[in-house]
Parts: sequence; structure tokens; C-alpha cells
Amino acid sequence: MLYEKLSADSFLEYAFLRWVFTPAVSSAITSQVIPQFEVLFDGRKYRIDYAVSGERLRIAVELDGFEFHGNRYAFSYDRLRQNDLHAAGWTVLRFSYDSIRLDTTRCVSQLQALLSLDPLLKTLLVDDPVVEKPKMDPNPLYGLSSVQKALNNMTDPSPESYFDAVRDKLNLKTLRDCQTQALAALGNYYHSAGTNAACVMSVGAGKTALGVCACLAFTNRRAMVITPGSVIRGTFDKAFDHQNVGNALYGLPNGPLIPGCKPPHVLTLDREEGPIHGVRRQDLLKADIIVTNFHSLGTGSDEDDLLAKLENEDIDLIVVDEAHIAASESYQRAFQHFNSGKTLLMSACFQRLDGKPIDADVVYRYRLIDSIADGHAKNLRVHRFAPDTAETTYEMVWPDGSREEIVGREALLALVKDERRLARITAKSDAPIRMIMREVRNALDLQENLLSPVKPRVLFSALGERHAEQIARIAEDYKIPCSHLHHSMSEGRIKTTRARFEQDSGDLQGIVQLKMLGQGYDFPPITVVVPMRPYGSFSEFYQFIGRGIRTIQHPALTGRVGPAEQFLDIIYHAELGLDEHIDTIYRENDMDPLTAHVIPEGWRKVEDCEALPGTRGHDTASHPDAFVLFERGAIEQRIVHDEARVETRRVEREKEALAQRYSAYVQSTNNPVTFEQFVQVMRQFNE
Amino acid sequence: MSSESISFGRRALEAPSVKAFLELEDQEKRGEIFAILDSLITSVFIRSLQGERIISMTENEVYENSLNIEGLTPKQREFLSASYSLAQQQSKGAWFLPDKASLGGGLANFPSYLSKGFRFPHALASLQRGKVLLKDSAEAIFFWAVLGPMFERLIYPFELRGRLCGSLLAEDEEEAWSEVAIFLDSLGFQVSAEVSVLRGEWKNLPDAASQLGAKQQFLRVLGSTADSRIGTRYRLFMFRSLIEQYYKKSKADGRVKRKQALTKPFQTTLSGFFQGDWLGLLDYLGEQPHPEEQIVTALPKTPLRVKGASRAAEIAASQGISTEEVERIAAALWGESAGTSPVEARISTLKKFWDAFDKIHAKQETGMGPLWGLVEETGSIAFERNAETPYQPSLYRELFSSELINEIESLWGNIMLTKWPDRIVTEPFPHRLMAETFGPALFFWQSCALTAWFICEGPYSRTDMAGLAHHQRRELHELKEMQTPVSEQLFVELIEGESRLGPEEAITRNESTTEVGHGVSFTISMSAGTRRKGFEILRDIITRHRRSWANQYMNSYLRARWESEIKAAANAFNLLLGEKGGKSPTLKQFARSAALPTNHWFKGNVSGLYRTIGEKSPAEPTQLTLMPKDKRAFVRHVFENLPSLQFQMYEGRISDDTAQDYYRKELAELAIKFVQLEEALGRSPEMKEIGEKFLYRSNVLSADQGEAWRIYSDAVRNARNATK
Repeated sequence: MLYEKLSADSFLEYAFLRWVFTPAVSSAITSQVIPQFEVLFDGRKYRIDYAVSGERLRIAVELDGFEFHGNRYAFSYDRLRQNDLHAAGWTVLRFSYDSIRLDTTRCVSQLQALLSLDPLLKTLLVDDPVVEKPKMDPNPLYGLSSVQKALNNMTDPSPESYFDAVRDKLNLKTLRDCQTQALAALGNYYHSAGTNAACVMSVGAGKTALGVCACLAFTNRRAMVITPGSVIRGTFDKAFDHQNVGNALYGLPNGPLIPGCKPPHVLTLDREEGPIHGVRRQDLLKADIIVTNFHSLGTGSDEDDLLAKLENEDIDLIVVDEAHIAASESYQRAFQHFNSGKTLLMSACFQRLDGKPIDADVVYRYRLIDSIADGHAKNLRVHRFAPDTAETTYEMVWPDGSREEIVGREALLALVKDERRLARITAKSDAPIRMIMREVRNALDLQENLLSPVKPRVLFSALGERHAEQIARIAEDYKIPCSHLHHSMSEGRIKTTRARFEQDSGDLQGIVQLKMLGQGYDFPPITVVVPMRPYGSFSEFYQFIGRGIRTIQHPALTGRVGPAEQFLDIIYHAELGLDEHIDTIYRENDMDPLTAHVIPEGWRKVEDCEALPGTRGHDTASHPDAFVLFERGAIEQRIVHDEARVETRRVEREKEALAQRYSAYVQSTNNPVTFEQFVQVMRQFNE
Repeated sequence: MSSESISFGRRALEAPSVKAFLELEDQEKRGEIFAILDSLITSVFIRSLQGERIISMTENEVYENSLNIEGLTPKQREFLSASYSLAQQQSKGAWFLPDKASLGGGLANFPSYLSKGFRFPHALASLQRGKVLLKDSAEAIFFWAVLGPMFERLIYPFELRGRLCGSLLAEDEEEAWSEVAIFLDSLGFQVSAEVSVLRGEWKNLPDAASQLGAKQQFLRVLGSTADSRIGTRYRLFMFRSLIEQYYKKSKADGRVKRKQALTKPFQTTLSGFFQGDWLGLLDYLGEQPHPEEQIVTALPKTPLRVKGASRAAEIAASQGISTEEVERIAAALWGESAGTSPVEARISTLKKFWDAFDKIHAKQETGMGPLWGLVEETGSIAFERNAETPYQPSLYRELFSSELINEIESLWGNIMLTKWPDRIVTEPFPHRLMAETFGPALFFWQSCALTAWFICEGPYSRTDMAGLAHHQRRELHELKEMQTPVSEQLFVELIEGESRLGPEEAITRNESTTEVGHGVSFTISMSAGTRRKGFEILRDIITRHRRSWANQYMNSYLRARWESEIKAAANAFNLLLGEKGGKSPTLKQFARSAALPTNHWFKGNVSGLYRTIGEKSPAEPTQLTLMPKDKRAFVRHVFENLPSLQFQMYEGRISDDTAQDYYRKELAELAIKFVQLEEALGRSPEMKEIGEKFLYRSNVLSADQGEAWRIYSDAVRNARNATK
């Protein structure tokens, strides 16, 4: 049979040969067909599944594992690729897995119709083709399986790796549309021999779950997830922790991703689990997925570097999270080391911190505006405080201790000569912070009314630790229990402070962060973000804003406050020089900035301004010793867990315990109930 | 740095004496909040020194005491109950308070006994000591935290010339007297002359009367020089060491976490003087709490999850999902494919056991054997049964169905050991564990029936019917506490029934007759106890009451059994959580409290307990089964393969076969523990891990302990392989 004479790399290719190509043409066409043909065009290399050469036509048969039903312009890579093939003289004919399976006769007809345009190929067509009903599993991921496995009655009796056993059991219905589309784009890209893919997806779109899903779908031997930063016990680690509440394997809101399957063996390497250099090669090889960071990878020159312990063939998929953070050299070094594998860069940002574009084929892009429209991201509401700079009063303290009152921004600028310095003066003065804090209080009041019983949180950024303390102190004045986080704090203190902020039973409503809670931190109850410092890098600013972008999914809000009604308040001072960054967010996401800006009334003229301490700009954080940080009442609120708080925490712990049991349950069934329903059932087991 | 910017605590730390500390406190008015407490301590102190009896203790039938402070004014009592109840202290975060404590209330009465001239005041004082439930009494907590330590210090010089006389080395005695001097001086007593009599001139006192007189004189002077600020001085005396500890542990910014500073000896001080309130102490010191401090002031209400697949259909209908899916959820919950709730399964078996137990006792008749052994009470392997002895080990094997026996051995066949909570090991005596799980009702009714049997059928009974209630007072007390009391009418009827039994008849054994010729013979018989006719009278009374009790209470009793044990563990978990500022205890920290319910209701799998109390299990315990099924054959095999060397016993005596066999039998039984440890450790245990029992018995194997261990380990392993 013809399909036995031509090679197939995957079950998708086999399905095409078997159920479309073989009925359509005679065996004599074999000499005209080159499977998996490589094309070079303009320095770019593409792989065509089947190249069919006739007298006049060169036909590229392209097979897609997935079809797209979305109408967004999201697949630029795919289209650019097709354009290149056209320009190189190829006529492209595309068939998807589903069209072969469900519309086989039409596929055969289309193939014959195109081949008949060529005099030579026309002679090789079969008259009255007999079209069989294909034996294909509905799950398009089967298309990515090996031919042998797929033919083995859709089950592999001895899977070579964990991924062979789990790949075609992925429950794609649990993914959001954007995640499914991204996965489809990746599937098609990798299928067509692409190796260096990137997905640019807005914060809140669910990149982490996509990363997990990509690992399960596209890995053959072992995957490596690389995240920035030296401490990575965060998003990916939790996503792979199958017993954790909301993990990506079993705990996605729409149900488990791999029902009836065991979780992968994930090895997370970070300093919380002890020194990374001590890990042995055999431990690494026991893992299906290694989660680590650039720092641990090293250069490979030191024997303790992870790169030195792993060989090229050990890893065949590398997922880089927050790819815009890393300098290209860092991940290129890893890619070089594992150069036989595929890579996936994921980022919310379309440019790196250094301003350069991400260095990979962007196969899928999902903008913030798409995320808002789909209900994954909150609407943005920008509050910009723009004082009357001509009337602002500054107090200059000269080195000899003498003080001089300066009226107007321009006059001060003439003295300090530097706009950035002016921004820092604004950021560190009590008066502007109080102005901003007043609006934060208002925003929180509105959010509390809207979101009750969910407690809205506020995230501030600051210039330094003293500045963070200053902001936290002023926040406390406005009845916003607040603390600060700094990367130099001990692990224990960071953990405790985060717990106080993140747990429902925690006492904090605000956190001032300094190089913490950056990339990858995602906490939906953050509904107010306040950049209290200038940002040189747009990426950094965008990441900070993004920490609160994801919509809140809470049973109490269901049917009352939908995603469209949720807002993220961005509150900033015009003197911090952030306008351009805000404009960039709107421009790059095709959003209309005017509709989202809110300039609160009364901001231009504040009557009680003179009465506040620090109004004149000299009461800054440079002398924080004088500040009283806590009064007794505030202490009790902070550290004393009363009955209500203890009970709230118990409920949280119970949920964690249930997630552990849910993980065991999901592995035992192919059709699991949702976690919420599981919780309901469990409650009925209560005595 | 100005004195204003140095905290009060740091300045107090620098105070060279209690006197200076008192001046500082007065100056800054820091002591006002303690006014009521100081006055209460002062009044008790002075009353005691003046010879008043301060404490009374009353013991109940299970040796639990209640402690009362006598002579308090209503206001003082009000103050104590508002500040020292367990709930009040815990609401300030003092979860470290024990449920019960051994309190020597008599210490406070010692001055009274001494002043009244009793000959043995120490002995009298020491008689008033016992276990007190702190949860029931604010006065007991106040005594535990304040008065007890205070009177211990006060009585110490008398102890040095009483109980401790001659027991200390010279330098230790010097140090002890120095401490006494510091204490008395700190409290402002002017008693140096009297102390020097006790300390230095004691030997010169001519007789016991003079010694008694010196002590009484010392007490009198103490009483006469105690002033109205004695309570304050005592408080500051206690504060000095607390403050010293605080700053020893704190960092330069004066902050320290409660757990780091408040080691056990200082917990009572916090409880006694700050009502357990750590923030109160910080407020007093003028220090800020540690940034990571967390204080829990309430415990969560833990709902217990004990149901399983038995409710699958009902839950499935209410949730609109298939029964199979609910069964899978139950299976995931309980880690068993059937999804049966471990508690429900055990309750069901305990009920089956009870039915069988009840029927056997109801059918027992004169002429049958005793039923001592129907309930396994001990953990020991008997090689063979002696029909002559009343105790019939493993009798249950003959009288219960094999199905029930298998069920019991399956449900109680494993346990966790406190040291290795993440491992499940074999329980060598599942029937004993089942009986323990059943609890006091089983032991009471079994003991009741056995008493009836042995009174009637002999040879001896531990008690008669009039003494039965006292003999079984612990079980009866527990049943009463569980709201499932045994009717007192039972004892009335049994006493009356006993009066209707036949007269005592001697039981003779070993009767032998020897012909001596000429038609003369000697008959020698040995009496072995007595019997009385009429067992059925007592049996029927007991059966009627047992059945009536079971009909009325069995369900609530069994529920109370699992509920109380699991709730106690949940409470312990929550206490640890409270002590750790809301952080879950580790498995090892929880293991001690978790072991009992885990072994009774979850077959040694602690994750089952975690699931029941709605907490995340830190580990899924693993099981390695190495124990041979036939444990008796295994122990016998070890016994038979151990050498029997003669060894030196006490007073130069050399062991004989009986002594050597006894040692070998003990070592053979220890093999059970050896294998349990192997199961827990995943390797052979080392000699030090098995405990001292081996060392005591090893000389029957070899004089060299290392060699003995090698011989023993080999014998155990061989026996394990031969009998598995």
C-alpha cells in the first residue's frame, strides 16, 4: 500500500497518508513525494510534511494537529511561514487532524483537485477513490503520538516515558480558549519541525498552566522549566505540586488536566530545599520535569553547575518563564547545551528588559485587551495625580542646615538639574505619599463594597527599605494595615509576611515591595497597585502592574461581580514620570487610554495640604528613626489571631487538605468531578 | 543614648538588686497594674507565715485532686477566676499550660504545721500532694504558677535542715544556703541571725527539741518581719530572672520571638504574673514584638470527617453524581479501594465482637472453664496453656468465629510507633489493641463476669460483690464521664445474689492415697481455694444488666470512644498550632498525641487521622511487613535457637536452667520488638535502639554484649526467615 511506502513521523502524518493520500493517488506517485522536506528561504528553514513535485506545481502538504476557531490575529508566525513558502514557489495545501478524521472525503477531493492542476500529477490520481472511515481518536493530541503507539489500539503497553503515557490523556477542555489556542499553535509549530517558539500572553491569561500543559504535551524524555531569580519556589513549583490548592495538574478551575493519570515526578531545585550544587546526576535523571533557575544552571564550567551534570539528550523541552527578564545569553547557553530539544519562551511582555524583542518565533500572542475581553484580566482604572506644579512648595535644605522655600517645579528643577531626581524627591516626600494614600483609601473602600467578602489588597512599590517603611507607616495612618517586603529579609520573615498578606486570615491589606513579588507573582485579590517610584524599564513597570491584573474567582462573587465588573486601580503621581509607560500599555494592547483614565476631583487643589506633616518635602524617609511604626492597637491587629481569624485559617488548611485528597481521587478516575463538587461531597462525610 | 530611649526592661536589667528594681518601678509607676496581685500574694504569704492553713486538697475515687486556697476574700476569688482560668490564660495565647499537674499544696501549710509544733511537719506537708486538673480551677493554676514556686523557695531552708540534711556535698550545701540568703534578702526579711543558727550552729544544738525550736524561731521572725510589700518584692524577684532571660535571647533591637525566650521554666512566670499575656510582658518592658510574632488566642472548631462509602448512595443522590464516583471519592479519602471509613469499619467490628462476647458470657455454666482470656489483656506470647491455671491465654481463638478473629486481626494488625510516625509497623497483639479500643466498658463487663465466676467456681476471686464497684472504680468513673453509667442497682442485686449462693466448699487438688499395708492407707489432699454453688444466679443478673446497658448506651458509648480520642488529638494539634503561632506542627511533633487514635482507629496510618480532622497530612506513611504471621512460632523459634549460658546472678550465685530459660524467654519475646523496629527503620536495629531490656538479659547469650547482640540478631533473622 502507498501509505506503507512513505515515511511518517507522527500519527497525524500516518493518518494523512493512510486515509487521504492513499485513496487519492496511485502508488506510482511515490517518486514524486519527499516526506519531511526541508526548505530554506531568506535564511529561514522550514520543514514541509510532504513535498509533492509535479511538472509545473510544487505542492507543500502541511498537516496541523489543531484547527483554530478563534478569529483573532494571533498566529503571525504561521502566516509568515506560509507567505515564505508561497514566495519560494510552493503551493500550500493544509489538512488538520480533525478534517482528516471527520471530513475525509472532502480532504481527498481537495487533494485531487489541486493535484489535477499539474499535468504529471493528474495522471496519478485514482478515479472513484474509495474512502475509508479513519480510525482516529477524537483527541488531536493523538496526532502527535508515534505511529506505532497510535496503531496499538490507542494505548501504549509499555510507554517509554511518563509523557508517552499522559500526553493523549490531557483534558484540553479544562484549558481556557487562549491556552488551547496557544497549545495548538505550539503543536503545529513543533510538528512542522520548529524548535524555538515563544508565546507572548498577557498577565492573567494563564501562562503557567500553558507551560505545564506544554511540558506534558511536547516532552518525550524530560522537560526543564527555567524561571528567573534565585528563589523559584513560586508559581511553577506550586503549579506542579499536585497536592496544592489550585495546582495546574488537578486543580484548574474547569477540572483536572490529567484525570486518571499520576502526576509527573517534578524536581524543584531552589535554595529552600538545600544547596543546589549537592544534587546528583542520578537524582536529576529520576525526574520527569526539572524546575530551576538560570543561576543554578550556571555556565557548565563548574562541576556543580546543573549544565555540567546534564547531557544534551537528557532534556528535550525547555520552557523559559518570564523570558523577557533573562538576558538572551543566559537562555541561549542552555539552549546550546540541549540543542537537540525544543524550546518555549513565555512572557507577558513583547520586549525584554533591555528593550530588544524576544528572540524566538512568536507562535501565539494574547494581548491584555484580549484577556480583559475574555474575562481573565480586570479592567484598568488609572488614577493620575497631577498637582499644579507651578504652585507646589518645596523646601530645600542646604548643607549648612539653612532652609529655603522654593515655589514651583521649574524653580526647583533649575536647582537640582535632573528630572529623575525631582521624581525621587516626590516619591520620598510625605505630602505626595499622603495625597496618593488618600486615593488608595477611597479606591479600597469602593473595592471593599464591590467585592465583599473578598478583602481587596493593595500593592505598593518603593525605592528602598526606608522608603518602604515610610509608605507602610503612612498607609497605617489611613487604616490600611501594611508591611513591606525586601529581598534581603530572611526566608522566614518573607514567608510570614506573605502569609499575613495572602491568607484570608492574614491581617495585612497592603504590602510595599522592593524587588519582591515581581515576575510570576500573581494574586487576584490585589485590586489596587501603586507605583511609588519612577521606573526606567517599561517591562519592570508592566510586570508590577500585572501583579493584580488577574480576575478574582470566588464563589461569593459568582453571579454578582463578574470579570467585567472587576477593576484594577492604578494610582500614581504624575511627577514620577510614569505617563509614558501607561501610554505604552494602552498603545501595545490597542486600548483607548482616554476611557480608562480617572482624574479624581479635588486632586488639583488640596486644602488640608499645609496642615499635614512633611508637606514641604523635607520630612522624608531619610530620618526614619523618629517614626513610630506601631501603636499597641496596631500590634494586636497584626499578630494576635482571634477566633474568627483562627477559624478562617482552619478553613484554608482544610482546603489544602482536601486538595491533597482531590489529587488522589483524580488519579483514580477518568471523569472526575470538579474540585468544588469534591469539596461538597467531602463535607457530607463530616460527622 | 538618653535614659528615655532605653527601654524600661533594659534599665530594670541593670538594677543591682530587687530593692533597686522596686525603686525604679515605683519611680516610673510601672507596677500599678500588679496592685491586686501583689496584695493577694502578700496576704497569702503573711497568713501562711503566721501559721494559717492556706491550702486544702481533696481527692476523688480516681485519685484526682481539687485544690482550694482557703481564706480568700470574695474580691480575691473574683480576681483569680477572671485572671487565672485556663480559658482566660489561653485567650492570651498561653497554650503551654498543662491539663493537669502534680501540685504540692501542703507546702503552703508547712508553716502552719511547724508553728503548731507537729513533730513531722515535712511529712504532713508532703502528704498533701497529688494530680490536679488545672482546667477545672483558676485557683489551681494560680498555685501552679505563683504560690507553688513561692512556697518551694520559702520552705527550702527548712528542707535543708530536714529532708535534705546530710544529702548534699559541702559545696552544694554552701551554694544552697547562699541562694536562701539571696532570696530572703531580696524579699526584705531581716533574719540573718536566725539563718546563721540553721546554717552554721545547727550541729551545736543539743537535741531535737532545740532544733525544732530554732526552726520555729526562724519562722516567727519571718512572720514578724514580712511587710506589706513582700508580694511585690517576690514578683520582682521572679521578674529579674525572666528579664535576664528575655535580654539574653533578644537581639540588639530588643525583640525576640516568644517561643525563643519563653523556655519552660519561664512559662509559669508569664502565666503567674502576666496571665499568660506575652504582649503584656512586652508592654511592661517597653519592647516591641518580633516582626514575625504570631499569637493565637482561640482554637479552631475541628469538624470530624468519619463517614465513608456507606453513605455513597445518599450523597450521590444529593449531589447529582453517580454512586461510583462518590465511592471513588471515599476511596481517595480513606486510601482504601472500598472507600470504607476506618472508624465505621471498626465500630461495626466492635459491635460484632460485643454480640459474640455477650452470648458467650450469657451461656457460661458451672462445669465449664473460666473465661479469663476471652479478652486479651496482656502483650505476651504464651508458648503453651496450662489447663490448671485460671488464665487461659488466647481463649478467644477457640470461642470466637474465625471470621471475627480475622476481621480483628486485619483492622488492628498495624500500628505506628511514636518515634517513626511515617512508618506503619505490625501490631503483635491485635486482640489486645482491639480491647483497648473498645475501652472501659469491655474491661468492666469482663471483670464483672469473671468476679462472679471466680466467687462461685473458685479457686479465688480478687474481690467479693461488695467490693466490686471499688475494684472497678476507674472503669466506672470513665463510663460515668462518658455519660454511659452502669446502674448502681447492678451492685445491689449482685450483693443480694451473692447472699443466695451456696456455702463455701473447699476445692481439693493433688489428692493421693498411699497403701501402707495391713489395710491402712494415707490420703493426702491439698486444698486449692473454694467454690460456691449458684453461679447462674449471678450470671443472669449480670447478663440482664449488661444487655440493658448495651441497649441503652452502646451506640453513644462507641461514638464517645472514637470521638473523644480523635477530638483529643485534634485538640492537641490545635494546641501545638497555637503554640507555634498558627504554623502546623510537624508530624514528629504531633506524633505523641496522634499515636493513640491512629492505632485504635486508623491501623497505624496517621494520614487517616489527619484526614479525619481536616488537616493536610505531611506524609503518606509507608509499610514494610517483615513480621511472621505466626508470632508464637516465631518467638518459640528464637527461644529454641538462643544459647543458654550460665551467668553470674546476684550475691555470686550462678544461674540455673530455670533462670536461663526465663532470660531466653524474655529475649525471645523481645524479638517481636526487633522486627517491629526493622519494619520502622528499614534496616536491622542496633543494640542501643532496642532498649535496655536486652542488656539486662544478654549475659545468657554471651558475657560480651557485642557478641551477644550478634548472636541474638542472627537468631532473630533466622527465626524470621524460618517462620515467614
